[in-house]
Amino acid sequence: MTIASDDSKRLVDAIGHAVANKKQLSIVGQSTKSRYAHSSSGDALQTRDHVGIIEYQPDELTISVRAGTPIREVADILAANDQTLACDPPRFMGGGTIGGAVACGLSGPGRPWYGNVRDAVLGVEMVNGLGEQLRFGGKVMKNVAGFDVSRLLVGSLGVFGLILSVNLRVQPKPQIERTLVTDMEWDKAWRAMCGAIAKPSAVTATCYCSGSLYLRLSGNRASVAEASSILPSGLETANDVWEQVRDHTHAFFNNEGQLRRSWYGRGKKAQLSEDEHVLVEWAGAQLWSYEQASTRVALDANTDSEPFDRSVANPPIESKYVKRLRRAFDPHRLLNSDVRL
Amino acid sequence: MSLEFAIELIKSTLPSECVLTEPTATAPFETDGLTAYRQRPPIVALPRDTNDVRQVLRICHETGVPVVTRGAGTGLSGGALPHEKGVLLVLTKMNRIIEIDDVGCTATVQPGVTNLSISQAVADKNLYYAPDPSSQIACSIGGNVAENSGGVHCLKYGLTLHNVLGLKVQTIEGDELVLGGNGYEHAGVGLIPLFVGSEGMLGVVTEVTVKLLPTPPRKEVLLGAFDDVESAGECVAAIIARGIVPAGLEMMDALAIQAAEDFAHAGYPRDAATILLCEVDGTSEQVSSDAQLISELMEAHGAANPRRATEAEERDRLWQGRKAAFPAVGRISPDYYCMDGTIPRRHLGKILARIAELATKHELRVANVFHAGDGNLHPLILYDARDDDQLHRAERLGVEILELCVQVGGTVTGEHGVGVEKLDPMCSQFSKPELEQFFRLKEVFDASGLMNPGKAIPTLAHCSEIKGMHVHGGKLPFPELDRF
Repeated sequence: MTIASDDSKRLVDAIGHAVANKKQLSIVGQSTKSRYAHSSSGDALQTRDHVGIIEYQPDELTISVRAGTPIREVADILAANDQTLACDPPRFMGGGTIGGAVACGLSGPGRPWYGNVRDAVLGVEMVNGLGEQLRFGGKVMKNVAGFDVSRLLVGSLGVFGLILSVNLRVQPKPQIERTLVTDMEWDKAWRAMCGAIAKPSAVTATCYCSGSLYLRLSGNRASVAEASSILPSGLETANDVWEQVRDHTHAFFNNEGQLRRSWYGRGKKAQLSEDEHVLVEWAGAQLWSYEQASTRVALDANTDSEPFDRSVANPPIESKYVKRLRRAFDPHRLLNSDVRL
Repeated sequence: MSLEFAIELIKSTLPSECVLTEPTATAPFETDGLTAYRQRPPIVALPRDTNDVRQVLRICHETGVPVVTRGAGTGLSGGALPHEKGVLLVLTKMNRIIEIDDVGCTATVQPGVTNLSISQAVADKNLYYAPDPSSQIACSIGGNVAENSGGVHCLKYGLTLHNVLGLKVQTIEGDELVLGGNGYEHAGVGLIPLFVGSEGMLGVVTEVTVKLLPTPPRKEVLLGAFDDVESAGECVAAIIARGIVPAGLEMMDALAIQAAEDFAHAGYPRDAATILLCEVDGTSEQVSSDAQLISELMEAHGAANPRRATEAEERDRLWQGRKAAFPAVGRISPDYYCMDGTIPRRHLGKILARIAELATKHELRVANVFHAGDGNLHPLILYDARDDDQLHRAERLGVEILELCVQVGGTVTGEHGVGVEKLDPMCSQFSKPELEQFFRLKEVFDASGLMNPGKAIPTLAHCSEIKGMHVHGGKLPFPELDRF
């Protein structure tokens, strides 16, 4: 366990200094998501020494964490109290900080059931591009005072400001977690996955890859047993598959080429042929593919898609407002200035 | 001058049945759910569709006339209070359910659709829309988005924000923003959180796509009566510590219990200091084991023989008392003032004791209704508005209660919004740079400050007036405009 340390003064001063000298800064955590969120020009501003749990009240279902704290350490502390984060951000290369998880906003395979990082954020403490230390949101579930800046920061890749600390919702850890797998053709698998959204069940993650459908069941003994009937032919397999999908250590992610994410609306089925090399999670709503292997994946109007390295532009109107938003937080464009939203 | 011009333009653009200017016709719109504030709108526009909305916004933008957006008008913080020199844009005619997808479990609706009618429209498919503010029979989904409305099931199912997948928003500059959709993620930065809960300050929502949830196959409601607030609070902590996230968890104090029981005859124990109502839902097996454990925990914390309601009729009866708490309190006092602070749950005992002290100081009675699961406290301050001094004391007590909530790490509004009502306590919760950051965010979407001016975010001048905060004058453009 890392020793807790409050490095906020240095971080705030560094931004203040950058503002005074109009110098650009590149915010860096553990750099585990550099394939997704590229580093920017300017001096590196390291959050790794700003670590530790500020406050953890298991019976309030909230935790307050400094941005540089490794996700793994937060997960371990929660697990010791039979709790987990109320979201499941990836830990590429086994690492990653809480601040990075918020800044990138990526979600693991439990997304449709547990929500994303944005859903779990209750409040933040941040430094904007004027060097001002600001707090938004809070430590309580219900809070509608002021614009919801804390959740706006999720996925903003550090361009609105440096995240100093985050207050997050946590949830009880399910008593039992069980994974079932079975071979199934895509159409049937897709219907089974949609059923896991439309009917109450203990399903908390789905994955379809190479003709196999995986389901994660979570809950108490009885509800998991009840849900097992969804896949009558399913065999029990190791729960590791979910971490592998989340952290991209699954064999699917060993391919060469440009990795692409495509998002399907709920209830909208991807048209896949049998030999297509894809990995589908979120009950069919997120599809991973490699450019050279799956250029045939048909994208229709209900689909949004981008390379995982985000080498595409936003819709033009949104980008007009996004540009202004950046100016509203960072008028001198000092923070992660090259990062495109 | 510009207002008259705007009225003429709107009259010549929208059909006559969509424009109200006669005082008798506009009178019903002079207040929302916070009836202490009233302002007759000079013009009410009732757009039929998105195009009408865009036309009205264009006219307001071109003439520099403020525009206040209103849904069903059930808001409790005066967010839809009309502007004396502005247009009131009422979206109730846009009440069409556009699409229901029972495979993907989503509904796409116009903003004037009522909260409850979404659940009613999909009930036969065993689906429902989870957030259920107590005004759900009347309040509109557009208003829910504007306020980020909650309800009694937030701890498990989240706020409006957690249940909205997509929005179409019209800006006063004439752009349509298509945010999200019917999936979980989309390319680009997610702006939905900025618009949810923005109280009509940034744009007008013209379409909402919400997530529908499968109706739980089983529900059970438990009622425990406690001799003191602390035991009930500890019981709540124990339930959560045992890994249960109840669908609903409500607490009422003695005065609220007695008022509710006299009014709704729900069968509450009239001699209890506090009652806890706890609903669990889910699969049959999960509900059985959770309810058994909760019953044991209630007993262990001093609630003898908790009542367990498994049948719909009995469950509804137990909920009826809680849901009727506000009108019930209305019967025992000429007027009441509903607060909406949120606190970390563990401070409940301390806060209630302090509220009682403050009430004594101000010589007023307070009934407490508490969303115990999520820490949202609704003290109802009883007063008589005919007595100016009582009204003044009630307002003073309200401010002190909210300051108390902020001091223990809570917030001045959990679910009712800031509107015009909580501008003062916002000055305690946010610093000058934080308020300035809010101002800059508003300017991103509404540079001329025409969208719902004077609401939700207090001006620095306002805060300095009430607490002597220093303001750097002249930093904002158009300082003569009444902002936010």
